[in-house]
Amino acid sequence: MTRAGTSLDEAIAWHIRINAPDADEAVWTEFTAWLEAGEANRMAFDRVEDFDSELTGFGAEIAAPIPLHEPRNARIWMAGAALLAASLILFIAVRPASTPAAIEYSTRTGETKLAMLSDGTRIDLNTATKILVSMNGDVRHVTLDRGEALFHVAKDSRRPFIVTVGDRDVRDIGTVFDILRNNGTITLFVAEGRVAVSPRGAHDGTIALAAGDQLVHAEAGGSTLSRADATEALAWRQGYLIYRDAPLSRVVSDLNRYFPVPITLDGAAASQRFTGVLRIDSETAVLNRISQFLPVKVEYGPGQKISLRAPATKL
Amino acid sequence: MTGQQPSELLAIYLSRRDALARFLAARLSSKEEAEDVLQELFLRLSRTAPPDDVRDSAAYLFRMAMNMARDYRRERQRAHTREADWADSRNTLAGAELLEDSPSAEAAYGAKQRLAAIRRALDELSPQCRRVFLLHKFEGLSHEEVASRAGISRSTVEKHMNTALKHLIARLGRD
Repeated sequence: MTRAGTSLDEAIAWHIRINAPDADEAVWTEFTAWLEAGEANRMAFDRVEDFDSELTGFGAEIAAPIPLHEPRNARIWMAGAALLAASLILFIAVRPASTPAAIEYSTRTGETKLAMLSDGTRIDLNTATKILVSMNGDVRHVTLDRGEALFHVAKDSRRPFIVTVGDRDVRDIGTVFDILRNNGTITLFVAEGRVAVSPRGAHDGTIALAAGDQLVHAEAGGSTLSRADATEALAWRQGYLIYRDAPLSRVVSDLNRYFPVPITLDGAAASQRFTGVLRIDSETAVLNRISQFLPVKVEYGPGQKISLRAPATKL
Repeated sequence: MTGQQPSELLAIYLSRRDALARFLAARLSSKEEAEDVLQELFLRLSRTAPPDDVRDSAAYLFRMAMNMARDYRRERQRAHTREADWADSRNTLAGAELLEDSPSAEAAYGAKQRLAAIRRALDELSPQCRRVFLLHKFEGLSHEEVASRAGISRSTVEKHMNTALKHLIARLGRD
């Protein structure tokens, strides 16, 4: 075995030893001496620690059972049985004694992340987003607390997939949709399949959405349904935002999700409308581009503030 | 030792400061970074109360220092990646303004593949070894708890942990 191999074996042994609850100060002193014995030791320990962090990052998804591929006819039969079972569960309203704790996934401002669930569902988290996932026996439930997420839901007719966002429940069976919750407004776009949206916890007042439908709902207020283009609605995944005749206030409200320094609109600038493709790279670059398109001036104020101002009207 | 007051822990911190500095310098291979982490450790200790079940206060400080050094290292790596990404995005910007290949879709595919590879490598372990590893790593059980749950000795638990990590890193570790 090479020297590097020995270091790695030793690093693994150290990783286990110092993570045992009875590791005392003497163990740490010995561990320090081992690290000081050479760069190879430190680097081997880096490798072990990095791998351990990566595993931690995947979380419980690693331990979740891998779904088996069932023959198609067996699946249909089971779907029928599950439907019956589901209706029974609804009426009897039995809750499992211990609901598994929800797993939290979140991103910081400017960060994106992918969450892979044990059923094969993929959730792309956009900037400043927090979701809670709980996968118990009969329902797959996600709460979108804030921000934006794109859901690629794996088909599973036995377990409905429900997203709770603000005062709404979004329910679907195998589809792709995007939800944004920002400043009391929920925007839902369906890229594939169908979803049903209802007031949270209720079954009446359901709105059905098909591919290409976009629902904008003001929390505790009304909803508007329109058609939208998938490339435009999902452009954030490519690092772009696309607008067609959008009020500048909406653009600014979006940008404030991506960047840490808040942007405000002054006076007449709020009434401007914007059409175009914005690449989300740096805050300064984005604002420069906007000021090239529109008659607005970017002002960097003291104390981490940026404002967009329309120049004084000249008649 | 239970119910540590922050001030008691701070006193232990001060008496162990040199040993902690030496440990962090060895861990991070940099005296300056070690000082940064030590400073942060001090701030954290003065702000928050330690948990009640600290058995060995000095060991507790070393563990905190190690976790903070890990986060520090990760932050350093992230900063490098961000700079590289920034350089990339500038190159793309100079070229066509097309919405082409999605890098995040690629990353998603990569993560999926990686998860599958980790699961495959786990399946290659003996059932007991796999179970021990998962119980400790993902259900947060201590070595003792895993031992009593699986009806084996603590040293067997540690042996399984060793075998599992060695196998996984040999198959999947990045250099």
